[in-house]
Parts: sequence; C-alpha cells; structure tokens
Amino acid sequence: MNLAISPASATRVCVASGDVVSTTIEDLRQRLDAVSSGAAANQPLEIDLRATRLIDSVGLNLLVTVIKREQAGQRPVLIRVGHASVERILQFTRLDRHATIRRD
Amino acid sequence: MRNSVSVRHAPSSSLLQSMLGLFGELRGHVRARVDESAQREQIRRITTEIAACAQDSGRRFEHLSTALDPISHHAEKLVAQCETLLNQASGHEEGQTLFQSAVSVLGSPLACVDRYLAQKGDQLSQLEQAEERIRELFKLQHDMRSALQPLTYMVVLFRIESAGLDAEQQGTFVTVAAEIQRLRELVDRTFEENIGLIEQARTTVSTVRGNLSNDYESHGRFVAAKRGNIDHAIARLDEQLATNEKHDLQLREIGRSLQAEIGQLVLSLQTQDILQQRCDHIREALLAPGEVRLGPLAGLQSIQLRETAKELRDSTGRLRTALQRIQTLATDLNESSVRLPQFKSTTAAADGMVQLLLDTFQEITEIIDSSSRLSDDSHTRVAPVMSLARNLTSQTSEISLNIRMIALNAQVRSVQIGTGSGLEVLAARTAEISRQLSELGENTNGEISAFQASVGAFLSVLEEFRTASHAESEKLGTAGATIEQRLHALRDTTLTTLQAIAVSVQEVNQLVASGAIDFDGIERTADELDGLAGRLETIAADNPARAKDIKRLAAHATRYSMAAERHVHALATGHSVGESRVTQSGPELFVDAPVEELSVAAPEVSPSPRVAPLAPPSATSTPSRTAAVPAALDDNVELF
Repeated sequence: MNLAISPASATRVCVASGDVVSTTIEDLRQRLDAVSSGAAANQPLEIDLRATRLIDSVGLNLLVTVIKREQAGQRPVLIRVGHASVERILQFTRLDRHATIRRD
Repeated sequence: MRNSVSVRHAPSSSLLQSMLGLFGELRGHVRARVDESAQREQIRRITTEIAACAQDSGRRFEHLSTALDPISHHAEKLVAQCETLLNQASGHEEGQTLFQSAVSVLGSPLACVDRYLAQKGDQLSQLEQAEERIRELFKLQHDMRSALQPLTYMVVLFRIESAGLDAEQQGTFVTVAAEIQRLRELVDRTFEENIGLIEQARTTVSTVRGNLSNDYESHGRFVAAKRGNIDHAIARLDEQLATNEKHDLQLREIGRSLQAEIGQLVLSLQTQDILQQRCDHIREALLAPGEVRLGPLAGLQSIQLRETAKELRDSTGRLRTALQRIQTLATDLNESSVRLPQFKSTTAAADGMVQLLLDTFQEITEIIDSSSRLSDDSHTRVAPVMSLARNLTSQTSEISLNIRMIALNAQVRSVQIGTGSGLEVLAARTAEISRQLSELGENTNGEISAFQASVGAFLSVLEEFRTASHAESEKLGTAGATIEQRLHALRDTTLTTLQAIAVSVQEVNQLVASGAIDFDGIERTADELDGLAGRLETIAADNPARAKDIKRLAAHATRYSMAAERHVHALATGHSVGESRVTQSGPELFVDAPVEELSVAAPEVSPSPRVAPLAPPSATSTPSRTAAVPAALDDNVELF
C-alpha cells in the first residue's frame, strides 16, 4: 500500500496495492484515515484500486465510510479501477452514484 | 408404365412371329433382371453411404456435444445463481431472519439509550435543583457570616467592661473574649473554604448539566434519526418481502427461459440417436431381400431419408436458436441482476439494508460508548460534590455548637459576677447570636439535605445507565459482532453470485464466439442425406409401384420402432402402423387408391387436396404437409 499526500487543495491519493478484503483492510483504513484528517474543504480524494481484483463486504464497508466522510466535508472522491469485477461491484452497490468511478 | 404382357393370338402361319414376340418378352425379362441387379447394387452403395453419413453425423454430434457441454454447464450455473440471487433478494434464506436478528440485537441498546434520553428532563431538573440549593447555601453562608459579625465588637466590649474588675473577674471576661475570637477565626476560615467549595460545586454541576444537555440533545437527534431510518428500512423490507413475487418476475422469467433453452440443447443433441436409428432402419429396409420391389421400396425410403435430413436440419436450427437465446438471456440476466431494485435495499447497496444495519451497529456502538463515557465522567465529577455537602454539614454543626457553648459560658460567668457588671448584657447578646446561628445552621442543613437528594437522585439514574450501557456495550461486542459477520457474509454471497454470473456470461459469450460450435458440418450431412434420397427417388421413378406392392410395404413397415417413422410411413402409404395413428396430413405416396382395396386400415387423415404423383419432400417440408385420402388404386399406378 502506498500513500501520497499532496499539498493542500491538491488531490490526495491513496493507492491500494492489492485486494480490498477483511484481511488487508486495517492497513488501508489507517491510510485513508490519515489522508482524511486535516483535509481542506473541496480537496479531492483519489482512491486508486487499479491493482485490486477483489473487494469483499468489509472492504466495501470501508469505502462507504470513507465516501460518506468525504461527502460530509464536501470533498469529491474519485475511484480508479483496473478490473471489470471491481467496477461491477461498485456499480452494483451504487457507489458509482456517490463517487466518480474511472476504469483505466 | 404398365408391366403387364399382352399376348396376341396370331394365326398358325405367324408362329415365327409369336416366337419372336416371346423371345422379345424373354429378352425384356432378362433386361429387367439385369436392371434390377444394377439397381440393387446401386441401392447397396446408397446404404453404404447412408451408414457413412450416419457415422459422420455421429462424430459431428459428438464434437458438438463436447463444445456445447460447457455452455450448458454455465447456463445451468446461471439458473442456480439466478435462484440464489432471488432468494437473497427476497430474504427467503439468510436475509429475513438475519435482518430481524440484527434489529433485535439493535433494539436493546437503542431502548437503553431511549430510556436514558427519556430521563433527561428529570436528570437536568435534578441538577437545576442542586444548583438552586447551592445558591441557597451560598446565601446562607453569607448570612452566617453576617450573624457572627457582631462578635467582633463583642470582644472589644468584653474587654472594656472587664477593665474595672478585679483580676479574677477580668480573667473570666478575657477567657470568653478569647473563645469568641477563636470562633471568629474559625468562621472566617471555614467561610472562605466553604465559599470556594460551594463555588466549585456550582461550577461542576453547571458544567455537567450543560454537557448533558448538549449530549441529550445531539444523541436524541441522532437516535431519533437512526431509529427512523431503521423503522423505515424495516417497513420497506416488509413491503418488499410482501410484494416479492411481483419484483422477481423478470429474474424468474429469465431463469425459466434459461432452463427451457438448456432443455432444448439437450433434446436437440439427442437427435443423433434418432438419426442413427432411422438410418439403420432405412438401410435394413433397403437391404431386406425380396420383401418389396426395389422401386416402391426406394420411393418409400427416400421419403424417410428426406424426413431424416429435415429432422437433422430442424435439430440444428433448434440448437442455433437455443444457443442464441442462452447468450441473450445470460446477458439479460447479467444486466438485470445489477439493476434489480430489490438488491438496493436488501443486500449490497451502499444505501441498502445491509449497509444501513452495519452503519447502525457502528453508530449505536459509538452512542453507547460515548454516552457511557459521558456518564462516567459526569459521575466522577458530581460524586465529590456529595462529600462537600457532608463537610458543610459538619462545619456548620461545629460552629453552631461552639457559639452555643460560648453563650452558655458567658451567661454562667455573668451570673457568678452578679448584676451591674455589664457582662449579663453581653452574655444575653451572645445567646441571641447563638440562636440566630442555630437557625441558620438548621436552614443550611435543610438545603444540604435537599442538595444531597437532588445529586443522589441524579447519580442514581446515572449509575443505573452506566451499568446498563456497559452491559449493552458488552452485548454489542459479542452478539453484534456475530450479526455483523453474518451481514458481511450475506453481502459477500450476493457479490460473489453476481461476479459468478458475470463470469458465466463471459464464458458463454467466449464459447459461442470461439467457433468451436460447428453446425455447418451437420447441415452438410443433411445435404448428403438429401442427395442420397434423390438417388433413391430416381430408382423409384424407374420402377413405379403397383397395388400389390402396398401389402408388401405394409408388412415391411412393421420394422419401424419410432413413432416418427411410422408417422411418415402412414402418411406416405396410407397405412397406419402398429400403435401409430396418422393424426395430421403429410406426404402422400399413393394416389387414387380406394380404401377398400387396401388390406390395412385407412389412416385417420383430414381431407385435403390431392397431391398427385408426389414429388420428394423438400428439405424444408414439414411432417404436417397436406395429405390426400387414399383413393382408387389402379393395377398399375405411377407412384411418383
């Protein structure tokens, strides 16, 4: 997992290096908490899931929590995906209505 | 063409001519025998080719079956996945009981918070009353200090009045004045302490009351909103479950259609067995020695062969259609499952039931924990105020007792000295101050009791909530965690099913697009069978059937084991065979043959226009073609 925190008002980027599942979730949760703390209003968040092939319910729960938190701070969220299965899950769970999903 | 031989009775002079005629006839018979032998050889070759076609078709079907097997397998999986999705969406399996369990587990902490919030008015009122008592105590402390104020000049007066007395009496006055001075110092000291403590208590109670007021308000809003969401979601869930059948129609229809198409695949693949049997029967019939003349036999079997070719094409058509339908249905299922409205609320969606319950679990846990923390903090801060009250009581009692003792001592001394010393006046004044202090002390004790009652009631409720909230927190940590795991598992199952559907659909599409499914080869086999039927028709055309061939064909027809063969035979010859009954129109082999001349029962056919000498059925003809009622049959009839 890599984390890049850009200067204020620039896009914050959090890169998941693998699957977003219950066994790996804590690391990602901590990093997402880190990028969320002290974020300025309207400062976008990019969650890079291009290396992710699988998201389970716990992973989904984390994404929902993060998106809600960002929405509360009026900060847009972009989720980049690389695999159809991940995109499908995000569509199925209607997260595409709460965040921008981009397939690369 | 007539086969009959006409013999003309010539005069004896023309014997030679007759012999020539007989010779010609003999030559004709010999030629016919030679032709028949050639035709038999031709038929033998045709049967060999039919066998080759059947074998070739067998291989092609086997290959096709191998290619279609994974598609059928994936389609069956799709049907099962479709059913799983429906069960999940409707809550028939885990969902319904799980949601109810979750609501049940959530109900207890919510009720606990509700009870806590319901007492907020009383709790805040208790703290308000405690604050009021503190204000009164503050005032009483000031009153007590004011009441003791005269003691300052009383000491001076005692010293003035005792100046003219003897040393012993003066010593008495000095002792009383010293006691009054000590009491003054005690009062001043305790007053400062008490005022500080009372101020501190007031601040503590006021802060706790403010925090609790805010907490009650924010938690109240949150719990009300959360409870509203849950109640709404539960109502929506109940409504969804009640109208389940309506919502599921689309997915159920797709599932049913998929099953039907899988059935078509399996059924059509069985055509090979039928084809093999029909080809075997045709070959056996054609090779049967001397049962029926070659011409009528070839004519009849050409019809059977064309019907076999047609069945093969129909089967291929059904396979193509089933395959296309499976592909379309699979795509529909994939799209429908993602769009299904019921999943939004029940399973996986971000604003769905599972997420709502998961969020609620987390939020309720946070409420319970934060409320518990706040109650702990309030308790920690308010509890010392009770000891302050106890201190105030003892101090006030001590001061009151002291002043009573001083007053009593002064009165005793003044009596000892006697009247006129002025001491009796001072003693009386001291006694009056004592009474005032006693009264103030009683009032203070009353206020302190009231204060203690308010704070005690507040702490009691707080203590009760602390115990309950700790228990709820513990329950949420155990039962709640189990429910959360099950909720995650439910959503994982749904997500996995959806992924599996997508994979199955992808597999189906890839298999269809791979080109592994070869229908063209089977259609070529059908063409070859049609070609062989054409060759049989040519043989039949050279050897038209006669009436006596009908009986032989009727006997010959008993070899058929399949209803379809009997059906075609009956339609072609006008004979019903075995249990097979002609129930619809079809190809006609004989025309104008009277029923009574036939030795077999006439088939049950509907009247229809005659089709005189019938051409071989086209590849696209169906068994339900129009048939003619067998009519008059001449001795020598053109069959085709």
